[in-house]
Amino acid sequence: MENSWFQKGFKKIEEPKSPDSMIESLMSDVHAAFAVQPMCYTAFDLISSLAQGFDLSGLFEKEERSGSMFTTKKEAKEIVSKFEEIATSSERFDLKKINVGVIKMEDRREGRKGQVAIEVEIFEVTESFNMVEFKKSGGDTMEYKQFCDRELKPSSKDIVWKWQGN
Amino acid sequence: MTQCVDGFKHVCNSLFRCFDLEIYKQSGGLGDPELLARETVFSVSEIEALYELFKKISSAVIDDGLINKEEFQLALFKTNKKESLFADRVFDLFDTKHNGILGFEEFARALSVFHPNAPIDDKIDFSFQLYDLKQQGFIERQEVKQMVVATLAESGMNLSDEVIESIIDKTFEEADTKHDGRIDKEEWRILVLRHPSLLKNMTLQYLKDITTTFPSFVFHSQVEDT
Repeated sequence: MENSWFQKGFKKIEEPKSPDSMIESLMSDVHAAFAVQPMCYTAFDLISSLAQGFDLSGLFEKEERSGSMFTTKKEAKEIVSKFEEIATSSERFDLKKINVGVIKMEDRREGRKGQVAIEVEIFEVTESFNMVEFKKSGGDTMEYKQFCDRELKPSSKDIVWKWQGN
Repeated sequence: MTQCVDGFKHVCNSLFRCFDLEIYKQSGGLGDPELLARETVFSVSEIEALYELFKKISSAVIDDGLINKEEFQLALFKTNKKESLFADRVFDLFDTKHNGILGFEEFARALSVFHPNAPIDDKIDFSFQLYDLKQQGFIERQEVKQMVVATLAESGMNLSDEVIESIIDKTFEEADTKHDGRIDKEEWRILVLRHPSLLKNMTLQYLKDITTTFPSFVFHSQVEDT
């Protein structure tokens, strides 16, 4: 609550409200507080990110990699909302904006190697076509993978168009 | 006639394996690791480790010490059922002898460009050639469109022609500073230096650890690595 990001547009709640409406007001506060402007993407970015044939790391990997990038037809706002939703329902991750088109999810709890943190970057290809890439930016890799496989990926299904590599 | 030549090649390869010649072999062997080390960014032990990887890949379908396109696809995608414009393009660039197969020397020289320590100019050059489908020395709008369409198709996505055109418009607006409808080497270089992530596929961190991932048991190497 001390974070000024949180205070902007914040209305002090006098009586306990239902959880749903609390989340709703939280969401609108977040949107009011910042807009994530996605970064611009050239055709070459698109090709180099999606064309598996250009990615030679497959020569060194034993199994098919689990993706950390997906395409989506949703707008940046909806993408951010989705990650907010995932963060809130995880009951351990907080969401904050760190740069243009970049948001960060950070675990409140300390894991084996500190707090697990995930950086999510949104690239705008066109208005109705975005690329979302996420990667670990802190914490233990196993814990990060667990969260991705168990919560992040299943929950983001409704905004995903295609996972990279599929 | 081709059967004669194939038969002859087969006999030669078998002969070489029989005698286990240390001197420079046909492309089916390790060749001269010291020469390769001098002419690439790899050390001798990295060349030997790379050879272990090469052996693994080249024996997947036909055990002839050479990588054919199918084996290359298999190594990249873990399935040989995947046709890819881009894998073809990469294979063609590796195949400097233009004979449809990769010997170890071609493999090592090409991968040298992907090493984290390789000069960035080599990476910029290689990536330019990758996109220059018709190899005319410039990247045309049509080539970019072809690649975008292929990328989307390979990934199972489709976009309207209108949207694709707008993506390419935006790209050329930024890249084609001479406004001649094509991207030449100079323009490519400027674009890449402004968007370094465009070169992310040109560096394979795996190559730094290759001696650990692919330990080689070649004991005749007497060269001290610097």
